Amino acid sequence: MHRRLVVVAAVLAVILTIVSFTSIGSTPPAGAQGQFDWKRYAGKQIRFLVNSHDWTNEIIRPATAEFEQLTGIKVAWEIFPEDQFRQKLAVELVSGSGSVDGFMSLTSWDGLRFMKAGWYEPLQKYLDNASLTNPQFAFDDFFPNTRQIATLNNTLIGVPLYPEVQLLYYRKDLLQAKGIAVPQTMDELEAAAKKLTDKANNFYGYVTRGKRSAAVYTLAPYIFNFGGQWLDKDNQPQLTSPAAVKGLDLYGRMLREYGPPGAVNVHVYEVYDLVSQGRVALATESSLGVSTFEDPKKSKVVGQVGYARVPRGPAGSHTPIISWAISIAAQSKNKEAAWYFIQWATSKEMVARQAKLKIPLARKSVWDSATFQAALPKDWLSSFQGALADGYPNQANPLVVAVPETRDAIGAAIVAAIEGQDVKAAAEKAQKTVAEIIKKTQ
Amino acid sequence: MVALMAFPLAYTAYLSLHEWYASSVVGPAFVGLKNYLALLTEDERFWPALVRTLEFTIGSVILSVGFGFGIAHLLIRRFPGRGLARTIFLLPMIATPVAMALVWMTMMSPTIGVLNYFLRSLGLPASAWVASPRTVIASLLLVETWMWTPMITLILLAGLSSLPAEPFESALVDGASGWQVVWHVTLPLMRSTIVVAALFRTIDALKIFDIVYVMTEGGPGFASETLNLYVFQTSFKYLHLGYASALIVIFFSIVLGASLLLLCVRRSAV
Amino acid sequence: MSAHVRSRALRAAAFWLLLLGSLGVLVFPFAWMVMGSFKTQAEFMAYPPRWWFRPTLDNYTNVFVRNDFLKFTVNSLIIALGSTGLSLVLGVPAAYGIARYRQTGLGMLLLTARMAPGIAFLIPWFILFSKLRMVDTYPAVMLAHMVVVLPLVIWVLVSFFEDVPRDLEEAGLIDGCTVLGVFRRIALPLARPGIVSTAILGIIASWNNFIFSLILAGNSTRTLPVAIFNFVSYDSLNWGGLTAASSIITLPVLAMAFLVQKHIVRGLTFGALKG
Repeated sequence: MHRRLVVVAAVLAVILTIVSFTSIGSTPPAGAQGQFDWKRYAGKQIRFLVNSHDWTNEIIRPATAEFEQLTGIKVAWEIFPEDQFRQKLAVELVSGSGSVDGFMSLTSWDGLRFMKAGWYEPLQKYLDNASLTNPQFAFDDFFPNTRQIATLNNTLIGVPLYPEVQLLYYRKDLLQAKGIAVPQTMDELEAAAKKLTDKANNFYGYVTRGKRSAAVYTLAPYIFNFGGQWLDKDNQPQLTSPAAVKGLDLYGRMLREYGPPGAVNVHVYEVYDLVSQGRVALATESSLGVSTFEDPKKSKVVGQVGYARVPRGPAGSHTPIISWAISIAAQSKNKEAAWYFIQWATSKEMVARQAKLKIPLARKSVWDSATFQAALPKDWLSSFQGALADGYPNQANPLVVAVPETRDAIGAAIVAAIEGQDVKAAAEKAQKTVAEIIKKTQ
Repeated sequence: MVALMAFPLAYTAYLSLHEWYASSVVGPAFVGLKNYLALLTEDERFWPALVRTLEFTIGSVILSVGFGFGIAHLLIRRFPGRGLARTIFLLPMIATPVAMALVWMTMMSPTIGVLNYFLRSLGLPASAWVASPRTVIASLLLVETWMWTPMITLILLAGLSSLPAEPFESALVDGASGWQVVWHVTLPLMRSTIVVAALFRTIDALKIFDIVYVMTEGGPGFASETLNLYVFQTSFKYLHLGYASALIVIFFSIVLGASLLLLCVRRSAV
Repeated sequence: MSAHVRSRALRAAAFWLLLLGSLGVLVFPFAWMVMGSFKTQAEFMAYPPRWWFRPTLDNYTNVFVRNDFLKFTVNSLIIALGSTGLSLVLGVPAAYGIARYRQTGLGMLLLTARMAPGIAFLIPWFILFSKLRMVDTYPAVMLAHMVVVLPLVIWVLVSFFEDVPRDLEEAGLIDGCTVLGVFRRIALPLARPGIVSTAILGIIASWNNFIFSLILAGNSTRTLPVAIFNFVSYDSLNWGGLTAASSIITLPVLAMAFLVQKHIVRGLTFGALKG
């Protein structure tokens, strides 16, 4: 009897020893077996290179101190505006020095290229590892379309941050004054823009982007709504399809006849400015515009902007859905620590802070929360959900490896269309250039 | 110091013989002179960019040196407030180029810009400035000249200040008029300085980048794409590093050629 | 007699017209920017442009309070003074040597560095400096800036030294000075306007340099031009912040230029040879 007891005790002791040896670094408090260990990588230093945005500036940067307290990991958080951010990131990633642990990535732009260059660290294995991922994280809380945006070639490479679709912005007061209904179709859009344009008084009916590469994003719905696509299933461009040519032609005409002078230099900043300063009546742009238009410090038309879905064409209303995501660099020497930062920054608590700043977010639970629902205009919320459901993930431009070159080539055709040149010839030129680019780089 | 400068250039020349889309997975692949061939024969954007860059440079040098010479003559005289004048004329150059380019962009806005406001007030037609392929280069040239004339002026002013007085005194004694003094005395004496000023302006104008990048990014379409901008797009935006290196080598040779030309002129002056 | 007076008055009028005209053109955009820094975003974009408006100091407080502008200014100052100072120390004697001994070859070599677009240097330097763990340090950025400043210093000074009359130097040598003495006592003072001018140009060039600072500097050595971009974000341009920051940035350099410009005076040659 005694001997059996001793054997059992010895076995138990051995088991306990083995268990305590295998839980490296974590000291589970008594009785809290399922508790996630935030301090596991304490003492590590990580560096993230990110894009300047309200999310990075207003939410995460001030909160890094909280993260450091929670985990003991020191974070260097370097923020640059998009262009400079891309340049610096490119130099650092090319040099392969492992100087950057994590970065933000616009998957529709960087996605395939970064994948091909081996710069992303696939994230699925971190999500699947219970010891590395906080059980509260709940990745399926993110909208399916947004998760799909951050998944390329069946590999998850980032966590989505603030999804965007395109919406139609319209001045409720002006449309009402002229008795115009909110445009539902592309034809109605053109008619409304025509009625609202008053060039003598420096007021224009419609604006959207005209700047070479940037305009490709806002051209997309024009092509999709007529039934076109960027690429066919063999990855060949479809820029000379009837739908694409029709869309391009209409786009150019809309800006030429009803848009402000200098439309070919208009980027997203100018679109937001023109709307918020009350110089245009209608615009199709990224859904992020809402935070500018409803900000009394920036906008003269607070409360007067209506939000609707982009008017439909014969093939319905489809806009691209894109989102910046936050990723881990494959070259990083502190991948787990970087993952800790990512899951903290995209946790339910942190995402909830986006609600207060009217920054669109990707978590369903937070979206449905009272704070978020109250913070944003009702028509924005419903239009966004509608566009999200019918939208095409990552289709801001043809999804190829050499996105910037491709966008520049298509952009040249857009500028030609706005300037009133031969649209078909411009489309053919773009088609030829893009096909060559794809051949050389894919 | 020399090594620090030379090694990147050597690396660039080496890379120009390879094909490499920046990647940590696939390294550079040797292709010999293929990049150069493609550049000179197939590339649709290279030759127009080169021509534009030359237009810019010639225009900029002539205008800056011309204005600079004139303004230096104004600032060399004694007048009340000279110290102040000699400082504030530097402003275009001191202010951060990028910020000033952005300010010029708002001033040149076809709809709300103050420049068109002036034009309209004077009854003149408003211009599209940088928003039209027809006027974009002239508009950018205006900004570039505005920004860099002070540099030329400064160099020429210093040169003018160090000139000995006797030639001027003797010319005046001989009864020469103002213009004759400039033509026969000032210019020959300052030839070396003028050429150096022109040299630097040429090199910098050939490399023009900041203003174009900020104001148009080479647009509308590609109407204002200069060579340096094209190089930048190819290396940083397209990450087509092998090809970009070939572009850099050719670009560099052009700048070198232009400089040598100017230096020969200078050699004949000394 | 009156014709003479009239022509003098006309010439004076012409002078002032030209002077004020050119200064006006040069200064207006800058003045426009400073004016804009006191406007709100909405007023900045107003049309017709507002000449009279209620000024706000919000932009300036924003710049100082919410951004580490003091730190960036100090960084820019250290790097500009450092790179220009080093360039002068290396460049002045080098320029003299090149001018006197016609070492155009060496001069050409250094000039070629300035000819290559900055991009050519970026990736190789980044690799080099990160291996040496020098990224985000002052020396690295200073060295990078010197590539821009040193050739400028050397070449402008070469032309100045060449313009220094040889007779003066030969007189000095005859009087018993060494070559170094001639350099220090005769050539250097005569070339003073040139040295001052190049110092100003060098400081300005380093102060405004963007691309090298962007890539090689990190959070602790970030300089002002890079910091300006804090006001440009994903979908908005904070005009008030941008113009206020830009106005602030120009002040130190402007002050330096003002203090130093009186050295750009007429040379000291008259009388020296006649005696």
